[in-house]
Amino acid sequence: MTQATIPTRVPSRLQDLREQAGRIPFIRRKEFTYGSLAGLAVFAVLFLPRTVPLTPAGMAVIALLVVGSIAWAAIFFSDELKPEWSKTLTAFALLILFGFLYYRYSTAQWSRMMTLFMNMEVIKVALPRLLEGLVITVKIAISSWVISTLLGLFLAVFRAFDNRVLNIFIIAYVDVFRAIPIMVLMVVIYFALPYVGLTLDAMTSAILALGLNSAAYVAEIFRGGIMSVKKGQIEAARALGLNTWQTMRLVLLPQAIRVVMPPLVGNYVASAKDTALASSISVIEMMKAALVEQAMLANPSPLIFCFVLYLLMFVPLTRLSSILEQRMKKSQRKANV
Amino acid sequence: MSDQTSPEIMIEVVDLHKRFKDLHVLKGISTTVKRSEVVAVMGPSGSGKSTFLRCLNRLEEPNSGHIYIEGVDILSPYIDINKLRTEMGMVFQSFNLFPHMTCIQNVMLAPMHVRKISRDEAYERGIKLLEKVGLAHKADAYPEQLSGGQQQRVAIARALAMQPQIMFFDEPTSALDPEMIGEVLDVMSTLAREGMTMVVVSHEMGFIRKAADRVLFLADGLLVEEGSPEEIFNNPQHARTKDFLSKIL
Repeated sequence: MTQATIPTRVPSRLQDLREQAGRIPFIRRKEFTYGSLAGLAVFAVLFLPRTVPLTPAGMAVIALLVVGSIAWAAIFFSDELKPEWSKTLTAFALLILFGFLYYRYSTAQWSRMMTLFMNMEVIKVALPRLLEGLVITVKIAISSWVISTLLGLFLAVFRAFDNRVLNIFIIAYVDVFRAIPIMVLMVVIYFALPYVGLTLDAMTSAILALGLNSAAYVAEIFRGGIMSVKKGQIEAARALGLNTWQTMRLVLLPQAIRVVMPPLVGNYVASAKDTALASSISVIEMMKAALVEQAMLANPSPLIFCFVLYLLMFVPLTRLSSILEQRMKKSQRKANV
Repeated sequence: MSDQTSPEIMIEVVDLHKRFKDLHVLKGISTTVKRSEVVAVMGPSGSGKSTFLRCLNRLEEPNSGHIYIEGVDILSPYIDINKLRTEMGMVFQSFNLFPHMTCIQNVMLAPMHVRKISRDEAYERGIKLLEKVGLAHKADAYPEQLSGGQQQRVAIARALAMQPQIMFFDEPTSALDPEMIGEVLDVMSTLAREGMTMVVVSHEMGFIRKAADRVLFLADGLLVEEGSPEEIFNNPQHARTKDFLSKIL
């Protein structure tokens, strides 16, 4: 009876990997994770200053605690094996810790918070002017949207025709108006143009400056959208006998619009936010109105109110932009399959 | 140069040259296509067959030479190329359906905006054509919901909607999965039987043997050999043709 020949065992190249797999690195071990957390807690309890006007030593302790807890969270977060909920918990714990530190050690007068920041009496007095400002802000924003959309689309469509001379003008326009700060443009239109016989009122100047600036971006956005349409689409349209304009209107633009919507909405938000710059040429838009009221009533509540109004106007728009973008990506993925 | 007296001649190409910068793609091609003739264009990749076809409706502008369609010099600057293209349908390798329109809208677009016929008439005509390619039930579907073969058949219907006198096919089955090639070739065979003048860039030997009257074999921008499918396939004369056929058979 001969013994069956056992093939000689070749040492696996993965041998060292296999050995490593048994070893958990030090910073990933439970002992380290919870030990260091306990260490931070003990440090906080022992050394956090008790009195409120902070000494440099007290500040150093707080700084150390903040850095330590961020480092701890970073190590915790980078461990892929930790469950998702524990990371969420850590994030909230960090927020609460920082909130507490700020609440405990800042010089803010927390007891007067409501009367200072959310003073309904003050807001009631300031409200008429704030709303007037809001109307003006909305007017400037919408007018500049119209100007920038029409002008930008016009520039992009002519750019697509790829005429060398026209291109130079369009590129020059885009470069110049993307380079000039909006506020400078506004001031030049309002204060300098009268010397060449073009006197525009403050509101028109603001609208014009915003529109001209934004048109440069809109032109680039539309150009990108038109270029994203496949060349075969143009060929198919032309082969059917559609002329250049019909191809643009019926085939290119409808497809470009889908690609263009998310960045376009984003651009609308950007230019609407810049309406606050109109205050520099004496337009009493919403921010300026809030500033005036804040100064007259010696209370920052109008500013907070204005802050919240901006959020209410623009958060939905930015959200819309993101939703449109996701929807577009999804439909593109479907089309590519 | 052109034989304007003969109504039989549909397309006449004389000494056609096309360069892309330094690349000389077409080096003098001359041929004629008669009415109701089905001409297949074959050749190795880079031989200029697609460029040749695209010159015929001026999707590419030739550098020199003449192209006459029914005796009209289409390279003349006085020609309304858009009007001319309505007489020449084109089907592409990559379908190029308009993705933002349903099938029926794809088919109705050009008749409504170029021929200026009414929406109802365009719809009626469109449905008939979709029926003809066997896709009337997909009229309201978007191209992305269709298989490649179905998309290509809609593309054929879209080209036919202009009631062209000539149809150009630029490798219509090259982008298709094998099981979908048949349905597209069937539609093309039907068209050929109905007497449509067709120029087809394709390597579908079965289709060419069955439907084509003549084969043009292009290599390196030159018309190397032409003849009936039987002549070309069974008894090729030129070395390039023999070499090519031995590779694809």
